[in-house]
Order: sequence, then C-alpha cells, then structure tokens
Amino acid sequence: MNQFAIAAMGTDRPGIVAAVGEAILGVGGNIDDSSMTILGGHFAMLLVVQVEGDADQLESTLRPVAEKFELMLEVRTAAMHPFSDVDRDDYVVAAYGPDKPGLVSTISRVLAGADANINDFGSRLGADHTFAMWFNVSLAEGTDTAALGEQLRAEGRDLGLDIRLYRAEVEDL
Amino acid sequence: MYPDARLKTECDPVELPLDDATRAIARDLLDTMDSFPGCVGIAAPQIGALVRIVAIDVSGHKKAVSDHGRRVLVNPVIVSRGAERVKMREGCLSIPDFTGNVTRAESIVVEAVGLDGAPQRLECDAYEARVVLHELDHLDGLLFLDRVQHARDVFPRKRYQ
Ligand SMILES: [Zn+2]
Repeated sequence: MNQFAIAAMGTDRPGIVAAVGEAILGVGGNIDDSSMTILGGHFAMLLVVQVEGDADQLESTLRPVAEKFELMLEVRTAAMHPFSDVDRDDYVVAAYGPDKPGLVSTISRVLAGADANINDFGSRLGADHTFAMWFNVSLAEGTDTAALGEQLRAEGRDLGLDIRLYRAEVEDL
Repeated sequence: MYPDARLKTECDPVELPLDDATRAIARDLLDTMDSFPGCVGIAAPQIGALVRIVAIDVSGHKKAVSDHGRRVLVNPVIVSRGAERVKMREGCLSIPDFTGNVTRAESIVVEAVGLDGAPQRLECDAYEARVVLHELDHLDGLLFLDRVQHARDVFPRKRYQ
C-alpha cells in the first residue's frame, strides 16, 4: 500500500464525500485521515489515503467524481509526517476583535517568528462584525510563553484585537 | 457590549463594609438581570462597573440542580472545584455575535459576601456552577471566547435572544 494526499475543492452540494469515499473504497483504498470544511458555500477536503498503485492511477480513479461535481482535484504521494510535533507543547491562541484586514497575517507572523507550528486554525465572523480566531499551535522547545503571550497582546493592541495564549487542556475522561 | 474595553479589564475588589454606592451597583445588576428574560447571571463590568460583584438566579431553570435562588455575590472566590469537567454551549449578553462550547468544572464551592454584608459559602453544581464560573470570568476580563479551544466550538448567531 502507498499513502497519498487528496485535495478537492468546489461548490458545496450533497453527495461529494460519499462519491469520493466510494471511489476510494472501489479500488481497495482506506482513508487514514480527513478534514473537510465549507466556507461561503465553497467545499474543501483533504484526505490521506492508503491504496495500491501510484498517484496517477488514484487520480484517474477519482477523475469521474471530480468531473461530476466540478471539483478541483489534486493527488500527491504523501510523505509520512515530515514535521513532527512529538514532545511539543500544545497551546491555544484565542484572538478576537472588530473585523478588519490584516488580523490573521499579523498574528500568524508573530507565531512563525517564534517557530510555533500552527496545527489547526479557524475563525468565525459574527453578525456584529466581531472576528474571532483560534490557532492551535505547537511551541518550539524552550519557548518563553509569558514573553510570547505579551508579544501577541502587544501586536493585538495595535489592531484592536484581544489575545490570550493558553495551554490546551486535555480532558481525560 | 464587546468591544467595550471594560469587558476586558480585571475588576477591583469591593471595599468592605458595603457602602451605598456598592449597594446601588448591586441593585442595578439585579434590575438589569430582570430586564432580560431568561437571564441567569450578570457581572458588574457588563454594566460598566469595574468591581467584583455578580448576580445570579437560576431558580426554576430546567437544567439547574443546585439552586441558591437570586443572589448577589460580592468579592466572590472559587475555593474549590470538582475534578469532573463538562462541555456546554454558552452565550453572553455582552458578545451576542457567538455561542460557544466551553469546558468547565461540574461542581464548585464559592465564597463571597452577600448584600447584607454577611459571608456566604455556596456549593454549586451543574448549571448554577457554570453560571457562577462564567460570571466570575467577567471579573477577570475573560469572555467565554477566551475559554474556547477551537473555532469549531464557536457558532455565529444572528442576534441575541
Ligand atoms: Zn457573560
């Protein structure tokens, strides 16, 4: 078995995930990991799958589905975990304030400058134009979290953002 | 209402014994709570007073287990938290844009001074514990958005109901 990453994007409608899933199952593949989202009616999905054959074969398997649903499709051979988060501490950066351009770029640049890896990121825009975002990050070893928190708050102040850096809580239930 | 900076400010303790100004804030809190149907708690910074006072009232609420009725808590402090933590969807009068899933302690013990100036010790659980924890966060300049761990746990809504 070989591992591949599949990216698909298009206008959302019912049946896309089912069609892609069936096509993968039809060639004996297995979905190892997946993420899907819809923003403003745009559907986007990233899958990591294991299946026999090469990327071209997998792409031709999925091509009819992509054409039917008018999806942009990309298939790549997946390198196994090129970036390891093992032994990195997980933190949350919550930032919110009145919406304006530059909020995401400024905060993510500060995180990149601290060698923090963003593992997950999402935002929400409220009806009253509050923009709120959460970065789930792994901090580099030896990161001074108090200093990074202060740096984030300082950058945020200039943008009207309220920012808090805190350790992600694990619920052992 | 957010982004009013008073919602992001740590509040000062109330000086004891209680004076008329403090009692006026407490009355204002109760009146404000009463003016919003279904409102189960409110904190002084939500009405622009940067002091450590909250009002709660979960009486009759279907999710309430412990129920200490209508209370004003001055200088409230959480003295213990149970180990069990639960996730529940919260909203807030002061930031009507969103609701969000927040994980909090299922049971707490809170100590405070009452409106009569006497010390109080409340054992709260379930819905009442959540209300107290949410309101106490306001006294530290924290909104429920500061407790959320992921954007997936936040839901935009049109208008506060
Ligand atoms: Zn609130």
